[in-house]
Amino acid sequence: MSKIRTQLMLCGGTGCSATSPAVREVFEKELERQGLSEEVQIVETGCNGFCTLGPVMLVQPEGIFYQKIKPKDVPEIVEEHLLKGRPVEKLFYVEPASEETIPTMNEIPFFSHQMLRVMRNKGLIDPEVIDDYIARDGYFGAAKALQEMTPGQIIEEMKISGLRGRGGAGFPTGLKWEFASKSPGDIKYVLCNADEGDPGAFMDRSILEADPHAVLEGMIIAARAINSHKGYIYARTEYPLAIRRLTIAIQQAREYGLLGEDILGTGFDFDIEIYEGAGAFVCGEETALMRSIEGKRGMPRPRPPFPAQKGLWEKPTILNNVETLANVPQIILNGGEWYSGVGTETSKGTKVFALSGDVNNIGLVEVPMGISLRTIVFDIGGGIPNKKEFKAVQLGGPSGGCVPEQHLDIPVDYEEIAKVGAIMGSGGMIVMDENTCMVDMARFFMDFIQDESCGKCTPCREGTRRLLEILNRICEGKGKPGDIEDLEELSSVIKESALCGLGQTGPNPVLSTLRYFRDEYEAHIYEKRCPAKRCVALLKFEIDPDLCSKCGACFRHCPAEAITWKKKDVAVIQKDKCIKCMTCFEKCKFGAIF
Amino acid sequence: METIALIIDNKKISCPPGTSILEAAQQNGIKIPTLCYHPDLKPFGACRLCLVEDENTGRLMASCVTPVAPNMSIRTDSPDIKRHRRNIVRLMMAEHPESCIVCNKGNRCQLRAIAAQLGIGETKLYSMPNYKPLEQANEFIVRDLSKCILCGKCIRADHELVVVGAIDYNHRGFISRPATVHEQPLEKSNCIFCGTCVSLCPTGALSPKTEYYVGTPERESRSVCGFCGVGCSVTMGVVGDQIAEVSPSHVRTSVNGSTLCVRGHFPHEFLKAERLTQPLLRKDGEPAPASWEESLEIVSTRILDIRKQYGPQSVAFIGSSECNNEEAYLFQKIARVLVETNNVDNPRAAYTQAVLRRIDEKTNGRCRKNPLARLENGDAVFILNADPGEMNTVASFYLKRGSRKGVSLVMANPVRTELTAFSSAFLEIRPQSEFELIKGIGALLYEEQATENGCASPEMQQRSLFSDTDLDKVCQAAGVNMDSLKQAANVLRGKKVSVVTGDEIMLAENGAETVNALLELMAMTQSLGKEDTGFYVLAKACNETGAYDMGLLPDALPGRQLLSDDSARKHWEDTWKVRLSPDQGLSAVRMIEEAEKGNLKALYILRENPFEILPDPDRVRKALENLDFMVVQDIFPGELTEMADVVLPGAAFFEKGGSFTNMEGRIQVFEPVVSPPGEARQDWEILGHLTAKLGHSEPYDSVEKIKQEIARVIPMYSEDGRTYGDWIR
Repeated sequence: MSKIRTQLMLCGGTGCSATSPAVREVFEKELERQGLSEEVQIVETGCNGFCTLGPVMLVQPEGIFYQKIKPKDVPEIVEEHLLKGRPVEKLFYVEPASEETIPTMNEIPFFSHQMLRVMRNKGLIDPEVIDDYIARDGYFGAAKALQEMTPGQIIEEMKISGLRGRGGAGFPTGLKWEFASKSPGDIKYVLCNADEGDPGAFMDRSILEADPHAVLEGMIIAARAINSHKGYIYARTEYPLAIRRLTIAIQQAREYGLLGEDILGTGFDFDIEIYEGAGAFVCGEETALMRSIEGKRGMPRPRPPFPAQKGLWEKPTILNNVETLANVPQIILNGGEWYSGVGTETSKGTKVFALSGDVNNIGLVEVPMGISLRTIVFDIGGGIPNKKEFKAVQLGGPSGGCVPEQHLDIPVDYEEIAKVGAIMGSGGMIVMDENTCMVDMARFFMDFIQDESCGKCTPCREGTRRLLEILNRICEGKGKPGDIEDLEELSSVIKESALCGLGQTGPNPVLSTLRYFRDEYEAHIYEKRCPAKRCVALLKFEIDPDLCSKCGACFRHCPAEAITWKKKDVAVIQKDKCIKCMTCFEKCKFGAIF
Repeated sequence: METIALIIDNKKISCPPGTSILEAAQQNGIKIPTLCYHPDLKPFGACRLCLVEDENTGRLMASCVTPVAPNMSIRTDSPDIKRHRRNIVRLMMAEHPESCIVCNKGNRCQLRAIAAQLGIGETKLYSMPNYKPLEQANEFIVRDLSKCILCGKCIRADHELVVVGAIDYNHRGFISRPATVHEQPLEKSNCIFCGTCVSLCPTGALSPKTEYYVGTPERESRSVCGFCGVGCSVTMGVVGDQIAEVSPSHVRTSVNGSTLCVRGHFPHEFLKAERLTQPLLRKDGEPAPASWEESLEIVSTRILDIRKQYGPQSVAFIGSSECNNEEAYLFQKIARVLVETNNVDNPRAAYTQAVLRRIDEKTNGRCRKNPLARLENGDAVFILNADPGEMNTVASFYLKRGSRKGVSLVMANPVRTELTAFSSAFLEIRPQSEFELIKGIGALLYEEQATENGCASPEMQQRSLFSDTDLDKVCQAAGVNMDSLKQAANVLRGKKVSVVTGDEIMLAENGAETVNALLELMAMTQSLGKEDTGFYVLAKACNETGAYDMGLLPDALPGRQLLSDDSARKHWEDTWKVRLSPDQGLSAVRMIEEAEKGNLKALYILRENPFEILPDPDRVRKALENLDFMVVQDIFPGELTEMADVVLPGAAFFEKGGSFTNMEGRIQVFEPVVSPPGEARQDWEILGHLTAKLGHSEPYDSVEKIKQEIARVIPMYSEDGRTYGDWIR
């Protein structure tokens, strides 16, 4: 009989693991010293989601949530909490708005607004122990699919669930499987797209790190549905922890007879291999991904033929994203009806978002479809730091679009988001405050896209580079009349004539910022002014005497000694000495420098 | 047959399923601009210029990669399409260096042509050229990748057509460019400089390196390459009376399609070499310029005098397998009919012709035609002691493409070659052990068939060649181990087998037996004389087959008939109205021997160099010095012309009309592209004049007349001449 009374669910996700191993080490020592090793177990979990507070730890069964634990805090936790039963309050979460201390995880707004399906095991199991997963009904879905259901029934269940591709495009998963199942051929492939590449997106990584078996189980079910016997997980090389955990998970699943030949004695064979990508963003595009697995340069090819007919090595293939696959086991276990009980008319279930940027609670959140963006940003995300104003939120990474304040009440729904010019995307959600220059933002994403363009088709290769050239000029104060028109014209060419999804959505950063922030472009071009004061070339580096509080912060921090200031006097920047390093801008709390 | 009906630009069109919209449009005379499309390459969909719009859905798609679908209603020039096309070209032009005026591609630049067509002069974008260093250290290709528009044709040609793999994309996005491994210069890569990419490049990014000319040729003419037996169809660009460049003719029905090899594509040395430009007569021991009339007069009188004095056996004729059919026919006719001797030979292809003769004898001529396409589309190919990559490069492309498509190659060679890597089985055999090896493989296949059927069929039992073979002995003789021998046999098992070999198998003492054994092997695998297999003998010279067909041999008559065959001889006696001696004439080697002995007095050498092709040059030189009279008809001056009494300047293959018969048995006709230099004349013309001087009543005043005669008197040419279309008009 186990004597364990308490479990310490210490986050071992990529963010927290910067210091959590050191924390764990001290815990082990302390528990040993206090003679608690038998009673208290340390479990290294996958990503908890509240990355901004890392390393975080949940004490079970009480549900006490500790944040920002440092190794030096550990003796106190062991001594006070674990030995004497007095939780350490100074490590509790503090609500930024109300400054209220919240001891348990479920009460923290960041968690309480979430609905966990894909991430239901996060922080609760050790991802490197298959028994933990099985204890949480793991592989029951696969067992049901293999033992009780026909491929047709699996596909039907998936169709009822209304699950749509979580990689971004939102293609109905059941339909995709149905096409592949109907394609003739003995050899078929199930692929998992774990080539998460959008800047600011880390949903798939966290799922793989926290619950790798869920993805494997989803693949087994998919394989059964289309009668495939071989699967590949195409994972980013830049995700070493995810790859390590996947490798362990695959090994364990093989040992348990859940992968390999004759799975669960059903006579069904299926095995999975991990294929590490070489770092190209475009390899997240399905045809490029398949070429890459074939060992060739990852370049998209035109469709048709669609992968469901001719995919990997010209064989019928389905490619699903990590999050999509992680949804599958529960759909099979609980039924499609159960799954579609949550969500909107066209978008069912939950969606994981990676919340980042100018927001208080940076982290991973899973919300039911239909929840408003405002709830995500302000309730779960805790609003904008430093009392700044919200400006826009970028959805769907570089290929997505921005949603400004006036549309913040739209629900999370594929179609509704598309209506305002953004996309659901894979779940990247970058919040921007008033200090963000939208032209500069478009330039940043365009730089990314043109760099990641594979170079095959002309509109994407030349066009995205040209958009960047124009944006660069605008930000450098060399914009000219006609630039906006050129941006629009070229964007429409790229959008309508590029070969693959990367190219076709490439101009989105330009189009969506032009849609909502055209005035900023015009200010840059015609007035040579950057309203957000981010574009260095457009700044005068002068001090507005009306706004200057005469505090001298700029003077003290200027590395070039270009600022003269005396107490109770307005500071003055000497332009011949100024190196335009922006330090004074950052230090001035009053926005007096322009 | 199933067809799909659709509308393109209001025109009702039907075409087979699988046709792309672009092809459907082209077949119906509707033009869609393209840059990355080429009919010989897999559609790629990169340039996006061929965009069209489906009116039903409003969807834009690249027509080169989109198959037709029922009820499509396609517009190829809607306002949106035009706008997009213009913008795409605008983007390309803005990235392109502004060097059109001095660009070698000149008016042939497809980017420039399309820009002009779409009315794009100024791009109204800041010029953003992507400069790359000019690469021109190698002998053949100048790479100016600043002008590259990333159509991918060079890369696809490299991968799909010639299967070399020297280049692929490098980098990403705007800076991506075709590159070799580690961006080494071409000469440090495994590039074979076939130049296929050069002729496909739509812009000036790839161009042939030329020292003597820059710019667009004045005119282009088709010809047939004369540098090996494949007989590639080429287009020659001409400036003044100079060949400025050579490229594949891109004719789909040609042997080579869009490919070519380094010899055919870049014949710099050949074009630049010093030429014979006027007849030379030896006067006072020194060659001196003379008129044609005088020279031919001397040739005919001297030959006739010597024949009169010493008899016909004292005169001999050495022709060449580089002569075209018309010359070869006329040359042997001069020997046989006008000088009445069988002393006529073409020693260069002696061994090849010996192989061909064995095949002919064994198969009654059934294996005479072997389209190279069968190598690409068949089951299996057995390559025996041959290096197609070296000898007939374009034929090796077929083998490599075939290997990629799943044709099994089994190769047995004393050395490794480029094709080794493409082979399913490779046997490094001892030289001259071919016969043993074939026996081994045959025995392994025979055994299998015999046991599978329980007992050997009567047909099988006859194949005694393989029935009792000691496999250990085979392995010992061939220097291969049993496992690899078995592996090779396994690859061939149950497949139809084509054979590729060279003349080297005849070097062994049992060469003839080797050929027989190969034929036996083909027969046993039911591969002999079938539609999808062939017996290929590599041909180094351009008209080895033709020279053989024309009877340029001491023991054979035109039409592959043996001199010893009474009925054949009778036929030719009737045709030519002469008496033919049944005795075999002197072979080239024997001519030298007879010259040494002083029995041979006069020798007429047409386009051949005995020092090169006969053993022991010193002995040959002494023998030739012993002659009373020697005529050399050639295009280059050299040791031989120095020795000759009369030198008659002839024409290079592209300076004359005629036909070659390639290694497939395909008769290919060509017209002169340029005139021979100076007073040099087409060789048939020289020979034609000579026939008149030697007393032939009918004048040969046009190459057409010789062709007509060949077609009339050689049945297989009358047939094939029509099959191949343009030989006989």
